[in-house]
Amino acid sequence: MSEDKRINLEYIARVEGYGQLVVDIENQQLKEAQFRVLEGARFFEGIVSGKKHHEVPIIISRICAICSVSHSVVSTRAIERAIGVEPSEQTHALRKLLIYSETIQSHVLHEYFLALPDYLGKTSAIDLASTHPELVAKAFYGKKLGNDMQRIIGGRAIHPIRNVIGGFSKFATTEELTNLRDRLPQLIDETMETIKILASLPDQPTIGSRRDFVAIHDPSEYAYYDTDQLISGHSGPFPAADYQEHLLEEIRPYSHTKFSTLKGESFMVGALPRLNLNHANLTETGKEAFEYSRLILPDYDTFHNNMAQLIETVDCAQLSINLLDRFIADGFEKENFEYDLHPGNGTAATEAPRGLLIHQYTFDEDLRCSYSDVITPTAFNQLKMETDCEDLVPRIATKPKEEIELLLNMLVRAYDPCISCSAHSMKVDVKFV
Amino acid sequence: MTKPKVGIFGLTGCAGCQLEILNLEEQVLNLLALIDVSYWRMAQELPADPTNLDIAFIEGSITNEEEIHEVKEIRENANLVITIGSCAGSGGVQGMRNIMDNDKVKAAAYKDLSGVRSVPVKGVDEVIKVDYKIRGCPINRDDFVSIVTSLLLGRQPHVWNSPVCNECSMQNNDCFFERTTETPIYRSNICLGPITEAGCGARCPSNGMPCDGCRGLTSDPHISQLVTEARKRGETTEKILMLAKRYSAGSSAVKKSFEEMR
Repeated sequence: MSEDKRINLEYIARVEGYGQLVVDIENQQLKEAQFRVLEGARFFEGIVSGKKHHEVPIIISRICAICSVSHSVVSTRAIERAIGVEPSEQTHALRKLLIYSETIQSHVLHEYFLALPDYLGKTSAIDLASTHPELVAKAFYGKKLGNDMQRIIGGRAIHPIRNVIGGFSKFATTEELTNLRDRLPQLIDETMETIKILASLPDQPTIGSRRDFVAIHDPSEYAYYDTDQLISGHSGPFPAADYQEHLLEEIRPYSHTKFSTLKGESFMVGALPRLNLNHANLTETGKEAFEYSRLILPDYDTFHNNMAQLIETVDCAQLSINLLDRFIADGFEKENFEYDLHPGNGTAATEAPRGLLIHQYTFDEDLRCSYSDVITPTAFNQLKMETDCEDLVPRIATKPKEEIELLLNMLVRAYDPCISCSAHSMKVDVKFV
Repeated sequence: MTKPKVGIFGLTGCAGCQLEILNLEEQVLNLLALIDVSYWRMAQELPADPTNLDIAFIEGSITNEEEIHEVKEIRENANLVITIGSCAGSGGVQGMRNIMDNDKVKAAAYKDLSGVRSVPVKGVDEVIKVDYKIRGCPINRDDFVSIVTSLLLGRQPHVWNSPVCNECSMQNNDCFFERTTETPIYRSNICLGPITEAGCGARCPSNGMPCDGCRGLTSDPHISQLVTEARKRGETTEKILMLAKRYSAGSSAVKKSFEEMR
């Protein structure tokens, strides 16, 4: 018997921001899948036009709270390239530490509060607290540690203050750094335990597809921060500055939204793509976490983005320990902010917790912004969320509607989508099917 | 005692104020022992009941017709409406398009504007009555707890009525307003501490950056003195106003304060 199903996830709970997925199933075939952003547009590229170089990072970090460190770091880096500032190695190392902190707090929040409840049959972390208090305790421990790292290194957990063009406006004390350093081993141990729990849960959803991945790439380390190269799983490395040539934005007839494609196809950004493309450079501790995860690479299964985030939580904790040990031993050197600034154009690419993030700016003779382009992870992933429905729906079309809804919610949540980011300039098309 | 029924709503913004509530960490559970959260889309799927609320917290600014409708519905369903953060309080950074060339701003973000539906950015109190505003971009979680505690005890929440400068001098920070050295490349030569409401602990000056006014105007702000000083430093009135309204261009009350100054 054929049955038509129209599934409208108008209320995707437990994601950051307000998004909608509309899926039409006819005769057990997917007719159409559309992921939409329902938040109002904010026009950030327009708002920063005419603003001085030092104003832009402060304003642009407001695109998104949970990724505010990434927006702050990638904007300062792109602006530095544009106007002729080359910060010290110490500044790059501090920014990496800030990015690891953000990755830890964001991954922990997403995994324990937003994603894991589905795997354990719960509707929220609050619901989880009654049956799995130990998991909620781990979540608070990791979240608090990640936030404290952002506070101590960046001056504030949301919208960092100290990361500025050319360096940092203030440094943490050795005592503060030691406090963070001493708390990180517990995060590693507890995350390893959670990886074992997730790896052992039976009957997890899977999705069959072999679509492409993109991430930033550095041959010498598992890159989370600012590299010159991007890498695609299918076609290899290309210069980050040429992103507009490779990652084409196209308009599709059924929607006003822009879609990013690579060679005309959808691709994924985020923890799972990074793990696939850069796993050879995980820390030894990160490799141990990978062993416990039982993942086999290449792994194209979107649902495994959750496991990849847990592995990265361990890896970032270890990388943070390494950097903190260095700063505790060596202290900080005062930054040099003496530069002859000039007009120009600059691009930077980094990894936000939920994937590739690119900023590009042009500054005029008066050092005011005359052009900007910001592409966020959720904008990159949007088309992939839709093509995943093509891959997933045929496998689940005979299931009851409620179960299909849950699986589609889990699919969208696996991307850890950040609607605020994608709504920074995305066109809003509320066409109800 | 029945627990007060609370809803937490997000309009257009970065979701940072909701995140700051989640950042209360263990304290969230203490708070949940005292209130009944019946609607909070960012954190929970169920229960999702936005009706008959004792308190509605609203984050984010109004940027389209749907959101105008939504806040009216929230008001009808809530005994107290409290805005959290600069977006809900006064428009937030996205409100700057109200005081810029709106068409140019939109065109810089989109090549094709045919699908964009938007209205001038508004703080929530431009559309409905708001009982209290929790200030800041983002809000400070301790501020949030203190205000919720006051409400649960039936007390008036604390109002500072003093500028950021007062808190800043207590922290022994170097003054960014009394400029003594060359301004480094990474910051503005103007500090908005003298006209901005305290309560943040002078967060930015304590971290090596001047105050940029995210908490909004204090009572009796000495705007004209600030503008005179900034003009002396070579800034145009237009640029000073753009800085001073970075978080508040969606507020007609703030607009009025600056007009009176002129």
